[in-house]
Amino acid sequence: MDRRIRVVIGKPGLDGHDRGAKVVSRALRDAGMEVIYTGIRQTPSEIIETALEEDADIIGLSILSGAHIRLCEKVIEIMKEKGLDNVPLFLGGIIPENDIPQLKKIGVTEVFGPGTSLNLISTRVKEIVLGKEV
Amino acid sequence: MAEREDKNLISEKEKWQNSVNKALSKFPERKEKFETTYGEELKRIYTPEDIENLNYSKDLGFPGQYPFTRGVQPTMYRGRFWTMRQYAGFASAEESNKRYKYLLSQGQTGLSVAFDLPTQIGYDSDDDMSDGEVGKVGVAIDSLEDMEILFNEIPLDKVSVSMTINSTASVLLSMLIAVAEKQGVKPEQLRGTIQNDILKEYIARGTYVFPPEPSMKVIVDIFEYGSKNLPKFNLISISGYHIREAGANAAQEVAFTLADGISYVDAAIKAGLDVDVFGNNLSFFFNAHNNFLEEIAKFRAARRLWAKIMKNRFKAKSERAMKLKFHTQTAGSTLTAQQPMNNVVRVALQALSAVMGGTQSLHTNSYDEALGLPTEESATIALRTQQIIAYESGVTNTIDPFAGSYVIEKLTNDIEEQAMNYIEKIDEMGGMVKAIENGYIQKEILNSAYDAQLKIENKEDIIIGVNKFETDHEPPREILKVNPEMELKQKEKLKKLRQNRDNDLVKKNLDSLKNAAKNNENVMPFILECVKSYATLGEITNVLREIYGEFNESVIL
Amino acid sequence: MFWEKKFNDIIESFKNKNKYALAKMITLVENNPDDAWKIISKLPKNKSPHIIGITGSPGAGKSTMVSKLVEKYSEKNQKIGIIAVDPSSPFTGGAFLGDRIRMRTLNPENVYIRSVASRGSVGGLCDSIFDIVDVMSSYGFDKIIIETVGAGQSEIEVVYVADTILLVMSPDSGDEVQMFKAGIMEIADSYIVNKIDLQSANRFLTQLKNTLNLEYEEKHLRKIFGISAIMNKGLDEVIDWIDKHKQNLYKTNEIEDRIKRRKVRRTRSNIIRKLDYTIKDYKIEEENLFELKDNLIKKLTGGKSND
Repeated sequence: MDRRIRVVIGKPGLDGHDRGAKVVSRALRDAGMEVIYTGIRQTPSEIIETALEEDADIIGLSILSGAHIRLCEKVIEIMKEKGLDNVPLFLGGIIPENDIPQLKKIGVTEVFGPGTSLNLISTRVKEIVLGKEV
Repeated sequence: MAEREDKNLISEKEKWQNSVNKALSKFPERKEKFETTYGEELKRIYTPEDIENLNYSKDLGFPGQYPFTRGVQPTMYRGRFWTMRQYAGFASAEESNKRYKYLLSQGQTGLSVAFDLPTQIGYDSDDDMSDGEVGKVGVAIDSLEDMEILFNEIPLDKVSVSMTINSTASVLLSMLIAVAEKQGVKPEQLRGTIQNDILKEYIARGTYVFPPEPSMKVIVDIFEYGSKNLPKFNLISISGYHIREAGANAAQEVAFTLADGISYVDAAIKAGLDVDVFGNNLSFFFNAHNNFLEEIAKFRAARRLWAKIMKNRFKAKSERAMKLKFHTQTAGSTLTAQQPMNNVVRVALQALSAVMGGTQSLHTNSYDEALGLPTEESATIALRTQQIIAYESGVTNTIDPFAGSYVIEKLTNDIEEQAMNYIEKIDEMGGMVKAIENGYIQKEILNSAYDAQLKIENKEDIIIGVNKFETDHEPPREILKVNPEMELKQKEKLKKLRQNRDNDLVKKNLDSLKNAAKNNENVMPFILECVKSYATLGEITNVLREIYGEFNESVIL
Repeated sequence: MFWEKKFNDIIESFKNKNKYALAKMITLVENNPDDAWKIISKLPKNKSPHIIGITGSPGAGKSTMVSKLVEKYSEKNQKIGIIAVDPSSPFTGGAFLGDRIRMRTLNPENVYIRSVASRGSVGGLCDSIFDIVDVMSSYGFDKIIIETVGAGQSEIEVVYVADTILLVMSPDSGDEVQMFKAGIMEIADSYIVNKIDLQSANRFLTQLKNTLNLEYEEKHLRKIFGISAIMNKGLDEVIDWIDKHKQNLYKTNEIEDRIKRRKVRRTRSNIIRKLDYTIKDYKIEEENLFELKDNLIKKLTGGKSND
C-alpha cells in the first residue's frame, strides 16, 4: 500500500496575501504530503470542486480578511451538498480566539491561529487524517 | 600619524581578541553565529578596517546631494518632519470620511486611503465576487458618488492624499481628479501618491487583474497623463513593503523593489517620456522591520543605489530625478496576536529606524492589527508614537545621526552590494517581468519566509510572547467589526445610481474607452470621461478586462 | 483484500458518472499498484479516448495552453480528463501540485483535472500513469490530456502513453536551446512555439525549422505551430491538427505500433516497480550486493535462476 496524504490548501475570498498558505503548503510537502494549492481568489465552490477532483484527505483554508465565519459556513454547506462531509477541514490566518468555538460548532475540525508552529500543523494534519482511518 | 594609528589599531585588536578568546572559554556567546536577515555573518565588532575604502564625498556626501546616502533634503527634519500618514479606511465612504476628519484634527498631516478588496480588483459592490468583502479591509468605492462623500469637506488643495490602489489606479485617480474639480481644485494643485505598482502585486500582494504587459501599458499611460497634468503628484509608489511582508529579507526588499523601479523607468522611456521629468514623479515605499541597525542601513543603501541607477543606467541629468523619496510603514507581519500591547514597543522601534533612515512619510501600525481592524484608540496610540519620536526624542535635530558608525556604513555597503547582485541576475533573466513570470522572485521570497519561520520555531530567533516569555492565558480582546448591513446599503446605493444617471452617456463613454484600449491609445482621458458620467469602477474595469485579458499566476514552491 | 471494500463502495457511483467516485477510483489504483490490474478489469469498458501528451520545459506555457485547448473542447461539449504531473521530493516523498491553478477557468461540467505526483518515477510521468489512464478511459472521456512534469529534456516517457504528443516551447527560454540536442525533439508529433508575439519568435521558428528533419513531416504529419496561448492566437489550427493526426494514426496503422510499444512499456514498468519494492525489503550490505541479484531472480521466478 503506497499511501500518501493528499491535502488541498485553499484561499477563499479576494485577499491575496498568501505567504501563510504557501509556507504551510511547503511545510506539509516537506512532511511528506502531496499538497494541492488552489491559488488565491477562489470561491468556496471552486475549492470544494478541487478537493473533490483531487480526492483530498483533508482541506485547509487560509483566511486573513475577517470573513472566516461566513466563508467556512459556505464551504461546509457545499461539502455536504457534494458528499464530502467526511473530509476534515482546518483553518489558519487571522482568527480571533473568540470565534474558535463557533467555527468548531459549524464543523471546522481544527483552527491554527497566528503563531502556530509549522511542526504542530503538520503533526496535527497527519493525526487528523490517519486517526480518521483507524 | 595615520599609519601609527593603524598599527596601534592592529595591536589593540589582537589584545582584544585574546580577551575575547578567554571570555569565550568561560562563557560561550548566546549563539554560535550571528546573522543578518540576508544570511551574512554579523561580526562581533566593526572597526575602521571594515570601511577602509569608504570615500566620504563619493559614498556619503551631504544631505540633498548625490548620491543622497544621508538624505534627500538639505535640512531634513530640522526643516519639516516627515508626513505622518496613517493608512485608514473601512466600511462606507461616510464612515471613512469621519475617521479622516478625526485623524486630521489630531495632527495627522496627510491622508492614506485604504480601499476594500473589490475596489482594488475592480468589482462593484454588487458583483458576485464581492460577496462578503465589501468594506472589509478598506472603504468601498463604486463610483464618483462614493468618492465625493469620501472627501467631503476635506480640502484637496491642502491635504495630500495617498491611495493604495494598483490594478485600478487609473480609475481611482480619475475619480480624485473629478472630485477635486468639483471642489474647485485644479489637477496641478493636487498632491499625493497612487501606489500604481503592479509588479509587486504579482510577487506579493495579489490584487492584480490584467496580465503584466497590458498592466505595464496602463501604468505608462498614467505616467504620461500625470507628468503633464499632475506635476505635484507621485504617480507610482514602488513598493518593497509587501515584498518584505511576504517574507523577503532586507537585501531582497531593496533588490526587488529597485528592480521593479527599473522596469517602470524602462517602460516609460520606451514610451518616449523624459526620464528627468517623470523621474521626479516616482516614489518608493519600504517596510520598517525588526532589526534596527540593519533597517537604518537598508534605507540608506536603497537611496544610494537608486541614485546610481538613475544616473548611470538611465542617464538622468536632473538631481531631483535621482532622489529616492520614500514612504515607510512599520512591519505588519511582526505584530503578534499574543500579548498585543508589546506591539506598541515594536512599532516604536521600527518607526525610529525609518526616521533614522530618512523617510519622507510614515505609517505606524496599530497594536491590535494582528487581531483585526484598528480601533480609534489603537490608531491614536500609533499616531502618538510618531509624534513622540518627532517632538520628544531629539533624534530629529541632527541629520543622519548614524552616519560614520562602522557597522551602519558596512551594512549599508553590504546591502547595496547584495541588491546589485540580484539586479544583475534579474537583468540576465531578461528583466523583472520575466523573473516574475518564471516564478524566480516568488521562490526566492518564499525560501526566505520559510527559513525565517523555521528559525522562530527552532528558537534561533526570539519573538517575545510567542516563543519566549509566553503567558498561558490572555483575556480575549474586543475587536472592531464591520457591520454586515453596510454591504446591503452599499448595494442599494449602487442600484439607485444605476437608475438615476444618464445611462446613454455612460454607454457611449464606455464604448469610447473600449476603442481606445483596442487601439492602444492612452486610456486615461477616456477613463476620466467615464468616471465623470458616473460609470462604475466595475463597469470600467470590465471593459478593460475584455480587451486586456485576466492574469492567472503560476505558483512554484 | 483491503481495496475490495473501497471498490465496492464506489463502483456503482463510478458507473453513474459520479466525479467523486472517479477521483476515489484513481486514488485506489495509485495506492494499490499491485492490485491495479484487478481493479481495472472490473471496470466497465468504454470507447478509447484520444490520449494527448503535452510536454516542454518549465515556463513554456504548457498549463496555459492546456487550459485554452480544453476551453475550446469544452465549448464543443466534449468531455476532457486532464492528468497534470508534478515531481515528488526524492527525500520526503512530498509534492507540491500546482498546475491546476492555471486551469481554473475550466468548466467543471465537462472537465476533470487530476494532479498527480511522480512518486519516484523519472521520465516526466508517474508509475501509475497507465492505470490512471485506464480508469479515466473507463469513466468515459472524449480526450485525455497528460501534462508532464516539465523538467526538461529527459521527459520522454509520455511517448509510451499518449497517441499524440505536443512539445510546447517558448522562444525566450534558454532551456530550449538544450532541447534541440536532446531526445525530446524526436518524440514530438508537433512543435508548438508559444508566445509568438515575442520579438525573438521569428528567429526561433526559423532555427526550429532548420533543425527538424522535414521529410519526417509528411509521414508523421508533423507540424510546427506558432501560437499565443494567453492571447488565444493560433489554437484553432492546433485543434484541427490534433484531430487529423489521430485519423492519420489509424489510416497508416501507426496506431498499432504505438499501442504495442505502450504494452511493452507497461509490462516493463510493472516489473521494475515490483523489483524496486522487493529490493526495498532487502537488507543490502556491501558484500552481498552480487548475491542479491541471484536471490532476487529466484524470488521473482519462483526459485529458478537463469544465470
